[in-house]
Amino acid sequence: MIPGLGAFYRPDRLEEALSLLLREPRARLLAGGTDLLLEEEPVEALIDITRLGLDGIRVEPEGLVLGATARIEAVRRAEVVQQWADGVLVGACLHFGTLQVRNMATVGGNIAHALPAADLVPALLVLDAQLELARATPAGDCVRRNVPLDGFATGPFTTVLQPGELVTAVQVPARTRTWRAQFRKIGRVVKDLAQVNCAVALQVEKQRVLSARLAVGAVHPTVTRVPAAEAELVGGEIRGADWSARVGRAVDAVRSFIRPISDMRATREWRRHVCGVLLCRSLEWVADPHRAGHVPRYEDGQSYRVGVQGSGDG
Amino acid sequence: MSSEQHIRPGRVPLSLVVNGAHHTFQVRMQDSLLDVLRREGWKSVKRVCETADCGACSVLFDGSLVDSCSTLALQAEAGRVETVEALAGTELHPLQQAFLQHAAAQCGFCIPGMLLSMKALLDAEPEASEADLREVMTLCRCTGYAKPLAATRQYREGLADSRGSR
Repeated sequence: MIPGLGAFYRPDRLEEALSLLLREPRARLLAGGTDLLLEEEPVEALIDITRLGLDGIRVEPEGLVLGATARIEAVRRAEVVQQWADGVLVGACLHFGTLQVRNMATVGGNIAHALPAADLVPALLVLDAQLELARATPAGDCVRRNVPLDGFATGPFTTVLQPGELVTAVQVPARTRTWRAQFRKIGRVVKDLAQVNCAVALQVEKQRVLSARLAVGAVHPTVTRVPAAEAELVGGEIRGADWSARVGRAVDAVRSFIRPISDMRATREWRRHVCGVLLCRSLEWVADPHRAGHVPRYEDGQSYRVGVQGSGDG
Repeated sequence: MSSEQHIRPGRVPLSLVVNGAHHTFQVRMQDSLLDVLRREGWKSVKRVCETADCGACSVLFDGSLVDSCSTLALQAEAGRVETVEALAGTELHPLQQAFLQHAAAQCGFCIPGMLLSMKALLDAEPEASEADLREVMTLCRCTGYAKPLAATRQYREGLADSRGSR
């Protein structure tokens, strides 16, 4: 593991971590390490950012704030997360990997690594998440900025982060708390990376869909929203033949937008097909008035037991 | 002086509490927690996939179940590690007794990780469902899952009874 490691830093304040990043531009940030420690690439220096106090999970007036080094399992178990938008983030955390991985992996790591199959990202994208970033100037000042999560990843493993910059937290706006939402994933087994994952979120009032968000992962160079599909869902009632027709058009829009690849986990054709199936099922689920108050669990069969054939086959 | 700690190559000291006892080990920077534990004699922690998939190297780190193969040893500085040896006191832990009663081990290789995984799950969620148990199960090269599951169910029911009798 980690050939060539020549230095290890364990700062306990954010300012120290940022100045270290300036001084050691080749250093990598180490949080949960569940991606980094599996890489074969040499790493010259590591900066452990798990002792900076960035692991909080809290509600502020602006919304839900997840610290960058909050562990996935801590997010899953947080009551406020279970009550937020049908527990969509709980679904993403539950299907994230083994308990061991969830106890180590962090929110910020899943985002900043920019894996096209990242499980937390679709769920955060449909909740309009914003990222808090920080970097140090050579004069020693700390510069902070916020950027939308949408557009943060620019391709597989690349982001808009500037040299020396790191993610300190994710904000989920307060208005999304009552949205209807669901995350789904299919993998060879639940512990594996997604073959396809997706999330949907709808703002519904009196049966009318006021706004819609839809994000898909592992089927495109980045986890991505599909605005053309979202537009198909907005405006009508969330029931009846009109809704079914809208769902069908949204799925068609997603299938023509995405650019999946074939790899050892699935072929591109399979990914394109199954992506539509998962979205269809999630859009059916969020239309169900009886779904409220349900916290996602394994028995729901949202993950590895989902077959290709089914009633939701769009 | 800055509290920032900076570690350069060669063997470096690592302080850990393992199963309640304080230790300082000399470790290589790139060592995993698994490397250190096995080198220092805790052979119950098994080296198998080294890709955080199988669970045979599971230990409790500051109370959380983690894969020691994918935890950098230096990241564990000043932490508390528990291996399966910490489960039994003067008597076997009730989960171990349940495994014995059900003859749940075949070759036994994955059992330390399995015991720790099941205990960690049920400590956190005493009412964990059957699906939860199955998801937390470590991989077993003998494919012997039925008896460990039966043993764990029995232990879970014991937990429920002891709650009910309180």
